[in-house]
Amino acid sequence: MRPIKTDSMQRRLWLRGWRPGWLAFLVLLCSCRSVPQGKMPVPSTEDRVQNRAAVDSVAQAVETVAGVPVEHVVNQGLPIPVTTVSPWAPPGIAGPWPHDEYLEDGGDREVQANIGPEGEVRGLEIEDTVMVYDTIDGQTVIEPSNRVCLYSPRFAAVRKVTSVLQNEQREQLIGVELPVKANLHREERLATTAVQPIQPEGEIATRQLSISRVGERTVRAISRQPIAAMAGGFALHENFKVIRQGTFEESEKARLMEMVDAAITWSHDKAVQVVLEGQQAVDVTGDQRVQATYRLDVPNHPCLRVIKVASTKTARPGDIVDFTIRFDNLGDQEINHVVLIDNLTTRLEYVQGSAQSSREAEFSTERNEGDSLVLRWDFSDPLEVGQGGLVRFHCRVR
Amino acid sequence: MIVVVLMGTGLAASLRAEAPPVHYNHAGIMPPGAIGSQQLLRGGPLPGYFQPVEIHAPPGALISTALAGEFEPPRDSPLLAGMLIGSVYRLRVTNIPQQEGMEVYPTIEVIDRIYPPVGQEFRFPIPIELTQEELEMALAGKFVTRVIYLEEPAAALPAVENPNRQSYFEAGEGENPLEVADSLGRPMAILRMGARVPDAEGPDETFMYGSPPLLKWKPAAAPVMAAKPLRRGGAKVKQASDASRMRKPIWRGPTTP
Repeated sequence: MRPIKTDSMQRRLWLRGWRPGWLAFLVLLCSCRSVPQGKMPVPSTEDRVQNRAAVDSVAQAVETVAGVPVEHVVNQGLPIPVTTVSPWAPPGIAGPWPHDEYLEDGGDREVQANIGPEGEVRGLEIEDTVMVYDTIDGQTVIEPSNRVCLYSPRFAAVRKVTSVLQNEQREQLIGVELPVKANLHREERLATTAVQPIQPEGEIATRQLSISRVGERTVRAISRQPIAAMAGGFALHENFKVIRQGTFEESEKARLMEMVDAAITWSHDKAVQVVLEGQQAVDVTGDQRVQATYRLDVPNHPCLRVIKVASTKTARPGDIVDFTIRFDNLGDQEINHVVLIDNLTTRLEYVQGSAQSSREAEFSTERNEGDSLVLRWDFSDPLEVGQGGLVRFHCRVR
Repeated sequence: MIVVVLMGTGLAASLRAEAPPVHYNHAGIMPPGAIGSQQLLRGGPLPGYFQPVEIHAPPGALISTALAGEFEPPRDSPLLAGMLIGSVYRLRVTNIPQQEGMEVYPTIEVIDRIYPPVGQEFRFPIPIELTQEELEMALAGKFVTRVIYLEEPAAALPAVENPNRQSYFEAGEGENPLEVADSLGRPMAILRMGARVPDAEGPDETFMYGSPPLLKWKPAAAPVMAAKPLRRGGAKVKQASDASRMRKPIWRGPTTP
């Protein structure tokens, strides 16, 4: 009867048959050794010539097949690894960095722009971009835009030329006859002051304190207000400090939440409506809970959003960069006398005739101290709530 | 005693950390390589970075770079290449207009780098100008030092820059050009001309400053227009990918004896 070979037995026999092969492979691995440091094989001149020839042939083949011009690479000696250096910045410094490689425009840097007594804009420096407008209650507000950064380094040089000059000079003694005589100086001074005792005419008195400093106490939003004139005292479910005195205690939170859920169940659809001075009050905190703070909102929150963008992030001297400024009235009132002012930096030159505006405006320019221009748009129409506009112009990088 | 030594070490370290990156202790007349090697000691991402430079020469002049102790075949201007910071690169300028047959051997030492956006390193190289006037000065036996610096944008000259000419200031008698450049911006490279000429046997390794490795940049080929007019609604343009493939940097190996 022939023995039956199972799969596992067959695998064992197969491994046993390959045992000499495994031994040979291990011997081969052990024969490999690392080259000791300092004994790296240096290619000989012949090797370099062969290497150059091989590289040339590969480059020519690539050039022929792909049609791409390829520089022949000569690799002699130990190569230094070429690493891709990502934009490095020192830790803890916000970008863009380094600042001397970037052109910045927009915002309101250093001295804050403000309105003078004659209505003029003060503190407008080079690179600043601001919008000025009047509110319905007569205030003048300045809103700066964001800052736009362009990568545009520019270089210059300092030259020094030195040379050796042959110079002929004769040395001789220089004598000067200078007679010196003593000068007689006499000065007579007359007495011009006299000390005279003066009798005091008045008395030194102590003045009474006429002004006293009065300290105003701050008013708390939630104050301890004991409830009075409530018949029968507090019920059991009202036994919370926040109910009784208006002060929230953390230790009561768990029990209070149960009551809150119960209150919400009942007050979800028919909540308490608060009316102050005949107007619907605005709920300013949270949405579903038993307590809420109500405030009467008068429409007096002017808000103008100014966004400035550039067409490119990098530019070389001579390039044209397009700037766009978007402004929107996000407040709750109409604003008047809207003026947009952009004080261009020294290295930005305004391209004449490139200013555009989506709203009717009077455009004017004025030279600034950086030998560039201040661009100004005076918008004739008031800006209503929700309305906005767009301003666009081109600049050449110097 | 140990406390005193530790305090002294900490004070020295803090002073070193607060020192501004200026070269007031260096002079422009220091030997080539001295300033750049000390710049590497200040730390930062300077070692191993190939700072692109663009060398401009007068029309017709040819520029040769050093490789393996010898000058390579001359090339036209401008020459765009990446140079290691702190190393000194010897050039040979030939075929100078109105000075045919004469040769000038300037050196370039890059002492700082810029940090352009990734992929645009060779779009913003440091321009180095070899002007006709200065080449003739070097031929007349004068020594010309030109410190190229990065302008401070707030103090930049408002004049419209001519892309073909680099504006420069003249350092006066007794003034250190490096210190003047420090006050105007950030010194990036030093160009020296008129110092030495190679020996009669030819340039040796000392003259070539060891021929440091150089990253050469092959000028991009002119964009090829599509053979067929683009369809209405847009069509895919394949030339863009070809052009980007051509602008790969070419590695030139270092030389070892």
